[in-house]
Amino acid sequence: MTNQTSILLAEDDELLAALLRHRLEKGGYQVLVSRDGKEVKEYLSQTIPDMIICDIMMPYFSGMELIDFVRNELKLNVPIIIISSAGNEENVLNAFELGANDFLSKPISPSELLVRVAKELKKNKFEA
Amino acid sequence: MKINNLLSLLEQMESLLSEFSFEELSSAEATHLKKSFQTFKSDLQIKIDAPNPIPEPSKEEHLIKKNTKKQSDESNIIANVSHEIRTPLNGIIGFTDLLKESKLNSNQLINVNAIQTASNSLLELVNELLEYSKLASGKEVFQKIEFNLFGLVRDVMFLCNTLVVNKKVELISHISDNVPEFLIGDPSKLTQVLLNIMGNAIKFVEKGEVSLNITLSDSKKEAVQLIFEITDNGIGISKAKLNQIFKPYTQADSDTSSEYGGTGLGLSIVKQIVENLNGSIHVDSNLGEGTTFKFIIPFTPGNDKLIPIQPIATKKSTKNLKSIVGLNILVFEDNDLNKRLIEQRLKLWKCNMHITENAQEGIHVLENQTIDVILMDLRMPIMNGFEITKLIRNNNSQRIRQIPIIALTADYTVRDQEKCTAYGINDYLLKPFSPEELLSKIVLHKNQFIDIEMVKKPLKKQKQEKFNSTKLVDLTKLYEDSDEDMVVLIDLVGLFKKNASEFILNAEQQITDKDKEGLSFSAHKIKAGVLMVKANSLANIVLRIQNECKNSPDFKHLEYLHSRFVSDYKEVNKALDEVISNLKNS
Repeated sequence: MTNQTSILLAEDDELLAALLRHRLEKGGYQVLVSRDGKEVKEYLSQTIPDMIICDIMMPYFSGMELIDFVRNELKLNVPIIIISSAGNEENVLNAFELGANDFLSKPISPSELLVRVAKELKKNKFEA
Repeated sequence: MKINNLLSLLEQMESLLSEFSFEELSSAEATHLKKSFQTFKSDLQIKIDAPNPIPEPSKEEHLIKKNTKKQSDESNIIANVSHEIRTPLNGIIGFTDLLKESKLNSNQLINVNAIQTASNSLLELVNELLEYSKLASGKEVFQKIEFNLFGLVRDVMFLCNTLVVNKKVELISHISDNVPEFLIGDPSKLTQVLLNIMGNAIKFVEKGEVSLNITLSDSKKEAVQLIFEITDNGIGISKAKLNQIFKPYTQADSDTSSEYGGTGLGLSIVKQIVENLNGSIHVDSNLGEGTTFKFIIPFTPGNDKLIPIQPIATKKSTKNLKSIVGLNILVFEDNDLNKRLIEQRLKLWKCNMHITENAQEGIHVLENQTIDVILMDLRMPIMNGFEITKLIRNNNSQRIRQIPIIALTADYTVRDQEKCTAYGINDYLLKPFSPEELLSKIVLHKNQFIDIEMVKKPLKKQKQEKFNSTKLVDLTKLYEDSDEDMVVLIDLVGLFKKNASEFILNAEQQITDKDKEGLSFSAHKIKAGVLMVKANSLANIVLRIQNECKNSPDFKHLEYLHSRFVSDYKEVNKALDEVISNLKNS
């Protein structure tokens, strides 16, 4: 493996996932896209990414459960940015309570996501 | 009877709710859903259990009085209960929608869908009850305004034609020569009655014709009696059931309701309306031969000179038609009939439209889509057309401030005219308006608007043209989001095309299988994509498929929507290729 910063992107919409992957890779990150909660769980029990970006609404294994799994079962403090649908502020609050670090509402601006990713990674470095 | 109906639906919902597993949804939504359900239930119980306040005099002379009073008390209670039920019920429906947006497993989805179907039919029932009790208690206020009967009949026929799906039913209307064109009365109630009876007739005819005949029965200076006859050659009604037909909850056959649907209040509402308009209604039918509904309503003759008739651009209409294809139109309208009417027409002219009565939703559309023309109903319940216009004219964006607004109104006074000018409404259309009138107004203002835009922002327009060679898609935003990287853009567009083809195949199968959960999921999957390439016509279809799936879906209609998607996608596909090749060459 390389020394590249790795990002796990859990997003079930193929098109949005592709767009974000392109932009993140272009930004120099190594990106793993998953659209399936089980896959995410398996991946996380083997490797720890430097950052997780996840959609709150995902089939079978929601973003909320993912945060809970990472924070409470794996007990990791890897930064988590969540993607939420517009008008779902309550979900966002719950996600923050569970331990999410930042959020973006759909429609997502990839440029904004890149800025937030960089900011969270920088913060995490100082704290670590 | 009515209350029992409510209760049994309620029980159905309750048992569904108790089976529903909320464990995996520890979110606040579940609590909200439960809470609104409880409020709803206790509201209902309080109303039903409330002791009857009427004392019971035993003397015979009081009997008739007592009965009438009891009846009006009953309808008062129903009216109140219905109102009270609607609020928590809307809560249930809203939160069920939210719940459905979260990703559920297939079992949960089935349960949520069942809750949704049950609560939607409950809402329909409550709405009909409310209208029925309003009519019965005489609380309904009837309008007395001047209207164009010929225009009204034209609109009704147009709407009825849209109800004929996959059947060989011919619709015929005939108005006798001596029937006056302009009358004073309640046009919306007349429309409601005609649509209800004709809609029923169309439902029960598989092949044949439904005709509307209007003749003059009696004409005096102060009143004209008009006879409306609606005849069909459908399945007919047996003599025994015929005199029951206007009573609430007696659809001709108990089997009929399961086959043809409906809550069983429709015709009793029709009868109430006709009687409240001082008219009378009769029905005549032979089993297997068909049915004739005949009603007579008196009107005051109108004075046609009072109505400012607008110039009609009939001859130009075909030329005009081409120039509005693909136009994006935002419509503020709250009346369901008018909504449907405008929707059908704009669809026929291949315009993209968004119809709402909600100011916030409308502003959101304006901020996120390029809207060419706004049609604005002036009288709306929550925020009227003037107030919404004010919001639009004060918007931060210059583009939004300048979009032409055409007011739609049934009664236009000099004061309205002054107000329109003051608020910045560009023009108005008097209801009922003909398709030609609507078309010519849209064309007029669209052209003026584009002229202004071209002069003011020639550069930006040119840049947009590169992406926007047709209005079917717009890749400007996606290109920006791809960091102006052609390779990424082509990749994404390819992915979108793959998804769209998959959607077409899957949806077709799911419609054949009547698999509404599957279809709803497929629609959900393609939605983000159509929004990203801004294929508005497709987005509109997908949204309608999703909405249709929410209730008990009409698969014939879904078939139609699917075929619309297929044919529109062909154009979108072409447009995408065009935009990409333009970009490559620039």
